[in-house]
Amino acid sequence: MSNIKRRDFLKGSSVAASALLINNLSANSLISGPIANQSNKISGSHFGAFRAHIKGGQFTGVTPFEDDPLPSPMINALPDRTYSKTRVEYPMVREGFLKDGHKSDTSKRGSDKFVRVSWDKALELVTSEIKRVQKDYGYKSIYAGSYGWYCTGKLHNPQTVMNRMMKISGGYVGRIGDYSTGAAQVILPHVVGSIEVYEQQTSWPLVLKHAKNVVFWGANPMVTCQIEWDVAGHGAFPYLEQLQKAHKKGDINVYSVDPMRNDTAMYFDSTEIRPKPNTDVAMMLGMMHYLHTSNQYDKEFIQKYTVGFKDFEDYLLGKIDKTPKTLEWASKICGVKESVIKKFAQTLKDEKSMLMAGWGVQRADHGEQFHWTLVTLACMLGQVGVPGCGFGFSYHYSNGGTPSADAPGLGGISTNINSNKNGPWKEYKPYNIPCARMVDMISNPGKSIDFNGRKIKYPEIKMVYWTSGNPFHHHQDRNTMIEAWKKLETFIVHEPFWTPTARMADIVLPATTEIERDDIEVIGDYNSSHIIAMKKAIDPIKESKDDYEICRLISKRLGYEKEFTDGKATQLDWIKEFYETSKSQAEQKGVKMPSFEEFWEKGFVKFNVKEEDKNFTRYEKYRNNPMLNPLGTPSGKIEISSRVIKKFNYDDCLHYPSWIEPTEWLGSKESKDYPLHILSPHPKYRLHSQLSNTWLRDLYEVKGREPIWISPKDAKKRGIKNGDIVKVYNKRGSTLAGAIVTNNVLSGVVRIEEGGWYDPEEPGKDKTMCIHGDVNQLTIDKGSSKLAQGNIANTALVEIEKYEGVLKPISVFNKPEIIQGL
Amino acid sequence: MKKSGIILSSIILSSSLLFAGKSSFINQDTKVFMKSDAKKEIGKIDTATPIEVLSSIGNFREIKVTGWASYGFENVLFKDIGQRIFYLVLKDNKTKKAKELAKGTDSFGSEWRKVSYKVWVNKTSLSKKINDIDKKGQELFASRCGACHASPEVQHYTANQWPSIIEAMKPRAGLSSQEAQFINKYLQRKTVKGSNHE
Repeated sequence: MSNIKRRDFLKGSSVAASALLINNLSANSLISGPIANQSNKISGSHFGAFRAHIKGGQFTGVTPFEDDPLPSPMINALPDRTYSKTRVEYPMVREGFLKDGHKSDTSKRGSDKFVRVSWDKALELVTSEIKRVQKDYGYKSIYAGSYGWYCTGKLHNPQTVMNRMMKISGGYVGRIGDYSTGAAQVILPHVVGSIEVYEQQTSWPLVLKHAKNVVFWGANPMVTCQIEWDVAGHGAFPYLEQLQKAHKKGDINVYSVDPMRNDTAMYFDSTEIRPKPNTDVAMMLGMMHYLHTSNQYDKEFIQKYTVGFKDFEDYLLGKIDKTPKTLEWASKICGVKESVIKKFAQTLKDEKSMLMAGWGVQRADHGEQFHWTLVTLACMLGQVGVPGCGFGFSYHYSNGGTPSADAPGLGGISTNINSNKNGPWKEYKPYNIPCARMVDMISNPGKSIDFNGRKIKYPEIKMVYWTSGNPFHHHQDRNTMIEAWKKLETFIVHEPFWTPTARMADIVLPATTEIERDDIEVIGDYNSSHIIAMKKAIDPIKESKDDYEICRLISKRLGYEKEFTDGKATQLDWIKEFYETSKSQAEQKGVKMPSFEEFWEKGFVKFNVKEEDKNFTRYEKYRNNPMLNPLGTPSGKIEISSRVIKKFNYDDCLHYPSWIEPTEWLGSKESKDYPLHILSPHPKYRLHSQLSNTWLRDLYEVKGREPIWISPKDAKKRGIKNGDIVKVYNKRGSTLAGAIVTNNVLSGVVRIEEGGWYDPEEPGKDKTMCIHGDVNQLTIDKGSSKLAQGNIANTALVEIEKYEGVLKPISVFNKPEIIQGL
Repeated sequence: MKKSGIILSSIILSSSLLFAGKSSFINQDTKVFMKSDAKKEIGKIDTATPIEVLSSIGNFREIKVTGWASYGFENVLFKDIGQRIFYLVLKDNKTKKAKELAKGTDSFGSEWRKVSYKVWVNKTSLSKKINDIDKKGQELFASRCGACHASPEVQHYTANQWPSIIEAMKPRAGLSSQEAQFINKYLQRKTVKGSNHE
């Protein structure tokens, strides 16, 4: 292709000097071939597997993979995304940074123009910056936690390849945990001995066979099971369909506990219980108080399978704080009628029930309490480990509960360096901070925070390096973040798109998308139904390079190319190695796999599901024999109160599950000024902020803005009508949004899906409004508690008004201002 | 202790004294047998379990395993009271008689027994050094547990918690059962030193 030739030609030459020539060559590369030159190439994504239609060398459409039972509409937007106006086509440097380097005016991030440079120049700049910061300040001054969800593939994991390169350069500050389950994944190991949130669930066939009640508690699988960490297989959807049928026939009751009527509640026409946001714990305490005082809870289960019930019981009955957690007490807090709470508890007790809880509920102040309380409730109901019953925290994620296939694992690239050289990585010892405290760390170097029984000291960060993520979407409290970012000397980003994050960078290196490179991946995080070839179907767009290739070239400049590549000549060598390891593992367990060449030709291997895996019940072994199958807790049992947490002596996470008022909620004094609780659930037609830059936007936006759900009562009070553009604000920030007036949301609650791209009205101006609908203008940047330090995105109050001001056109879906040279 | 007596009897029994009386480690999860003929399998012993070789017949070695077990469940041996690093799991409580060495109670009031068993294993499952076993776990942890997410710090979970975490991640990390065991044992050994949890 002309692409390659052009790159060779450009090597080492000054871009500015040959600007005219480039324009001509770029134009040449845009000529596509005849459409009759066509092929179908198999590939995969977080949204599903597909065959890419390649016509005339271009990606023009998709056919869903034949084994996908319910393909997501999102795969249809992939060709659009590939050729999006927002593609970063060439290496770019912020004008001020190109002039003044790390001494630049950092308040210009986000408003400066970008200057196109050659790859040579860009790589030189990046390498010398890494070297400078490593040398002057050491590895604890580089934050490379680089959280994000971009792309599937065992080789092209941009976070991992970047961490590999950064480790070679001397190390970096990394992250602990994630944004999804920050609170739950720290509390649950204390309670049930494992993280629980990323584990296979009791199989759907057993749920459908045994459960009389299925409760979706803050869970919306109809939306969130569209995506998976590996290639999405959508295995849960046929079971959800069966559940719908059983519900219609009256065989299984489906409940939704959520302040909103989400897609799942709509699909099942569920019986809805709508507690006020962040009050689920209070509601559950009311349920448990009722079960306890009416002498209905499962004492035998508590006795045999749990420890520490007594301390919780004292709290529940009010012996500790003189407040019995009665139905009346609970109802006052959560807003659900006493009779409804009582009936719900009674039903769950009387009939076989499965509580499927989501994670949004724990992305809240004291979010740890939600899952702990729910486990406690499930123990009092006594159905944990019974086929199809109990609790499950991952039915809404990655199609949990879809029976696992008898497949081998598939490894991927890692940060492990095989080398006898005494390189800079030898001195590096992992130093990580809780993921969502990133901005707090940058703002407060030297500060010490509590985390799960230990203290962590924030280092002084000088450089941030990001690949495959969009922190200027996912992090809470945008304006505090923008302020913190000014402290950084250097911010480097690899990106295929001009995301809000790329726009804040000093150096942007154009990265490829999945369809522009070869890779290998599993379909189905939990059920591993297939291993799939992700084939390169088109050449990289403009001057994009794979993250792997970018990091190889930087490692080469650092003098350690071989350490980075592990001596492998090509990317396919890695892919083949992952496959061969998997194949030999399969052989050990008597599963046949074709040779790599046959696999690559065919495009996938499919694995069979064994009968025993269709009958998997979580905690069944534990229930059968808790002594032989102890849990990973100190007692080996479910810990309703925890001595370990008691020793930590935290005021915001006691040693038993309890209701602790969030910093903002509908019952707090802040609700006088900001009377609406804002929630930011997962989007239906995006993966977080991904695909916001495609036509899918047209399926949901209101007058080009992210939609906000508001109840008719709240809308009327403010003179807001369906389709109005509104300003949503609090003391932290403000954003425009398009109003959808609907009964689908509880009065007093509003909802903007997370992930709408941040589009500042006046870039660079303090606390400027977002004109598009970035919900994190409004959220709070605070840890859930000293225990987990998870984010609290779903704890925030706002006010809304009809927007009468001048409407600036949305610009975040165009390129920023680019100049061809200084 | 009756160690000398045991060694004496093993001298009489064994055809080779190569390993006799020596401390050693189990290098992979392996079956344990009633007798040196390996006809009756009675349970399994975990990777990295410290053992003492008592005697030797052909390819098989008689070993002594010592650990702590919950009262009434003496067929499941752990490293310590409340510290659930698996050593030996026998199929039942009756086939083999445990030798009771001590009694204890954990902080939850549960009773424990320190016991030892003599069982037979294939000689290929024995290694003299723990370092070789640890190294396998360390390498696998480094190469497999940082592919999807950032590598967790070893101290992030306790010795009791790690096996549940690894079990959950096993398929996604592309680990065979034995590989997962190498990682478990490495992490558990490291965590036990200097955990602030319990």
